[in-house]
Amino acid sequence: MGFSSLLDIIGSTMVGGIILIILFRMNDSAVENHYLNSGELIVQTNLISVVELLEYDLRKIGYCSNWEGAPVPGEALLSATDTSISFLTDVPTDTKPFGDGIIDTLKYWTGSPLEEDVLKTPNPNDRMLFRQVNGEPPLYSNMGITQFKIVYFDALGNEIPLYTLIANASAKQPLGIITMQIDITVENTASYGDLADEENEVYSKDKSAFWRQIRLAAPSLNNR
Amino acid sequence: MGGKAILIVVISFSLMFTVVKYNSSNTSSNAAERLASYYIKTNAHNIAASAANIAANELFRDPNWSGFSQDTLYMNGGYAVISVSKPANAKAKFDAKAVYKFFYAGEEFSEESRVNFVLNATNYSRFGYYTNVWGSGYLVTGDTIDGPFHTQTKLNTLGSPVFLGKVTTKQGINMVGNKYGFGPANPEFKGGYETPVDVPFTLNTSALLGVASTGGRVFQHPSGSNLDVRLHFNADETVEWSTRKTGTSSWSTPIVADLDTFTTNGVIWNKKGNLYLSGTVNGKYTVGTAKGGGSTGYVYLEDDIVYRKDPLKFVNGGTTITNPDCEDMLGIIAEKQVVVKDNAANRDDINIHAALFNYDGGITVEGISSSKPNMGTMRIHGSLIENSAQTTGYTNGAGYHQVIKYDKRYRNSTPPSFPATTSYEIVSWFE
Repeated sequence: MGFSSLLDIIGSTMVGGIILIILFRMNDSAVENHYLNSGELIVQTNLISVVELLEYDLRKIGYCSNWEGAPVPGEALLSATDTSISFLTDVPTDTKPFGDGIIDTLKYWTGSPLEEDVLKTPNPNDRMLFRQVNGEPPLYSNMGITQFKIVYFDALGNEIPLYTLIANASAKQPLGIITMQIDITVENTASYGDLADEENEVYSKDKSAFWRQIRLAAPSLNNR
Repeated sequence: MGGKAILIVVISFSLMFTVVKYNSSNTSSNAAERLASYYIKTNAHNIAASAANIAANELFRDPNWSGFSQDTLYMNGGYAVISVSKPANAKAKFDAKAVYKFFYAGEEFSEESRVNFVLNATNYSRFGYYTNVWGSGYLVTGDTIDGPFHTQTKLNTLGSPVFLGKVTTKQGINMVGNKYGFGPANPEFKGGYETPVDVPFTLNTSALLGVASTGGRVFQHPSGSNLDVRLHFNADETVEWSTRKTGTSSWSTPIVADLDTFTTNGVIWNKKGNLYLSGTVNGKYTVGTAKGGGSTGYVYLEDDIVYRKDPLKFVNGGTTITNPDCEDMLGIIAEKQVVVKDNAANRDDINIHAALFNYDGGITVEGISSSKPNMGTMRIHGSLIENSAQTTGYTNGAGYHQVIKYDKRYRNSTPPSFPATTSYEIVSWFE
């Protein structure tokens, strides 16, 4: 083993080391990308699940499988705010997918980002989405919702001011809502990176998904 | 030796990256597939909703329409099949089933969606206020119309009147504002607004005579002359009735009859003449009269005509809800119009619980003029159907101050054989 062999070993070790460093960096990058892609999948899946559920339920405001037992269309919406909605409908059962003919009260609302359950997640903005049927305990899930906003419109397409809606709901007057716009933003409840590192902000909007239903109308709210 | 080791390391990492890349690609494509699945479901739903709307439109144009000769509609990459059934409790039930077809990775897939709707004949009693001809008057700020509203002409509003039920018009709406101090044009349609909607004003007296002849009660003078009929309903489910030839002054001796046997299907019809009504209704009935020329075809209200229990329950803020204890229902049909008699009983308010059908006018007060005394309040709890609005009071207090409250039970239920159009309306929609 001569001097040249020694140089070979040193050289190959250096090249090998460089390659290893490159590979480690590539590995790190691959893991990060995989994490981000998984996060995107979670965000997309959660968003679509929320949207499908909301659209399915909100399209049935005022619906009853026994039409003679249906509520007065204009009075089917019980209360409405920009983050909650309560209405009369016929919720399907396991055996009756078109409803059992008995009117139910369905309510959706979002919780606070300061609730104990959502404070456990790394994302500081996420909040629970609650769904309650009649007086049963509300079902909820953290789908990473950071914005849930509903805007309401009357028969002439004008936006209805929120204070009017709240006043009418308390007086048990018809709310006059014919269509609604729903805005939902979903973010990943987990994170990649350091929250304290402002240059590596992980909760920026490019890691969220936004969805808007421009005019959702419930046919049974307006059919007579 | 070192070179071989590096080679092994590189190969190992390459294999690892291949697996990681594969998983990463799958994750990305899954996210896209999730959105694609929503798109596919939405597309299928849109096809079903469109097909249902097409079927509803065909039925509105032709009530006898029973489906396409080929009941498959192709649109937007899919197709819809419309089926019709006629259950006992509705005129027609439609089911629009849509199938959206798509290709993925060389294979054909399909997604199904359904829209169901139920149609029923449009019954006039379900309107809180139906007026065939609106005229040149205005509904103004401070006016509130309870229940569904319809007119076959153009509706005029001034300022911001409130409509609590759905509003439909055949000829649109003329919204006027900033006039006579009534504020900007901003009518409130709490139950929605739709135009043009055609609900023709018709009355088939022959059909009513037929129903009354088979299980109901028909009054007619033996000589074929016009006949006046007086009915006083009692809360014990009896009716006290008497008759006279129209134009004469003496009534026959009143007879008390049990309503169960007096009319088994609940319809009481005067073939031609006038009808005089009062009392407390126990049960579900439709009473009316056809005209026989001259001053006939009128229903005169001689006193309150009410149910045993008010159909409305008043809650806070003047809001009303349906009184669950009230099971009575009355339809009053006048081929001419309904008139409140100017007598002692009616000069201190009048209460009317009924669906009032005025084919040739609207409810009015006998001999009404601006020099009449103040007669209090005319409360109508039910629904008002008329050809055109008539005067019931004046701003100087003469006549009545009119309050009309809609009986919500009329939305899904009607007095027996109450007039209906031949057209359909959607009463239930599932999507």
